[in-house]
Amino acid sequence: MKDNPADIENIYNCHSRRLYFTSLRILGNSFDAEDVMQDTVIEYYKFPNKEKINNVGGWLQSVCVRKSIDLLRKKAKEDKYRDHIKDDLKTEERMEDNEKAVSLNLPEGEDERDGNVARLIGKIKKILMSLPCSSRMIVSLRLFEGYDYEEIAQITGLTESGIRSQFMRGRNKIAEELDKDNTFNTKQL
Amino acid sequence: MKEINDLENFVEKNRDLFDNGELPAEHKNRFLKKLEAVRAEEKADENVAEAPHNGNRLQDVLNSAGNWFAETARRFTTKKALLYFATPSVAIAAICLFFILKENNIERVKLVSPQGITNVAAMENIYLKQVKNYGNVLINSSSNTGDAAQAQVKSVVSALTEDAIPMSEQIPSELSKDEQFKILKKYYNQKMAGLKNIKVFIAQNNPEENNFKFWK
Repeated sequence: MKDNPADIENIYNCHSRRLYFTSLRILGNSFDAEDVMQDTVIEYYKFPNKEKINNVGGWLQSVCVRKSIDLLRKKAKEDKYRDHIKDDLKTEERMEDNEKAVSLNLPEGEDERDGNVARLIGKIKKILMSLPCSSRMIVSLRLFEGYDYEEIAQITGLTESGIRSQFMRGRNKIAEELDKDNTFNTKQL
Repeated sequence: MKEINDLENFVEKNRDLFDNGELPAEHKNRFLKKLEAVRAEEKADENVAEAPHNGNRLQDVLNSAGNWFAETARRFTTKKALLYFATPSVAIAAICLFFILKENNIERVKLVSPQGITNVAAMENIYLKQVKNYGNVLINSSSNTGDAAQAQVKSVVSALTEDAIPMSEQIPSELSKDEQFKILKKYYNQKMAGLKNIKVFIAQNNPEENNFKFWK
């Protein structure tokens, strides 16, 4: 299977952003998210039966999610990843004094619709990144990628009841943190 | 609760805005380098599969094979190990291909695909076992080639036999089973072909082992 490199470049230009942020929400790590994003497009490049893919964006998204989860699973077995999770928890504690402690790609000065919407989005992203990795993964898949509990169970190998529980905890945590900030009352949503 | 449902509605309504923000600097350049390495690997695979018709192609083939091994190492080793691996890998590739092409005898390695296996992951385990067994044979056979050469053999075998993510988990499930099996078999046949190249290198460095039996 040979493709025009310019076509693959176009695919990358069109889909890299969505793939990167999908992976970032699951992995919580910019370096890994970039690797997964790029490996996903490379996977498409190597795929021998492209004509059978009806929805390129959907195919890429599916592969990206699987690669992200596989990497998360692999890293969960490594001690260094547990340390990373501990660092995340410490960051959450520091956030009360200084929200800038967490370095995330937040929209700055963007005002496509409304300033409050942009700030709320930024706040939700910060809270999401502060969740424990398994909770963050499940919230990302359910809330942002639209997977239902059964699909998440198939992808992750976890039980549906466990997934529901993790999702509720994560989602409640987001609502709880938003309510703490008087600027953002969940009722304003 | 209404507040919770409002959160979900909010995310759904503003989904695209959650993907705003800067991507890592120079990300596209890194991607293009990866793509270039993959294309070099494909070119090396093609050149190994064809019998050369003249000596002028030899240098291009050796360069491509060196890139292939270097890219394989990049995927599966740390950067520190890559520094150790990259330079000798080119030598291994060059030596392997030189003797292969000189002999004008490109061997095809076939995986054994048992009948009756309907699960892709199960088939992958079978292929992986074959590949690892062959890799272990190669490592054992390289024991008389010297420490440096054997270390290189071990590195290449490791790179070829270990995947961070099993291929069976990468193949989209929406494809038919036949297509999934086909992709899987092609992938592992490529690994076997890579291991076969190492055999020549070992044989050239260990004349006493020329008679030992390889995978058929």
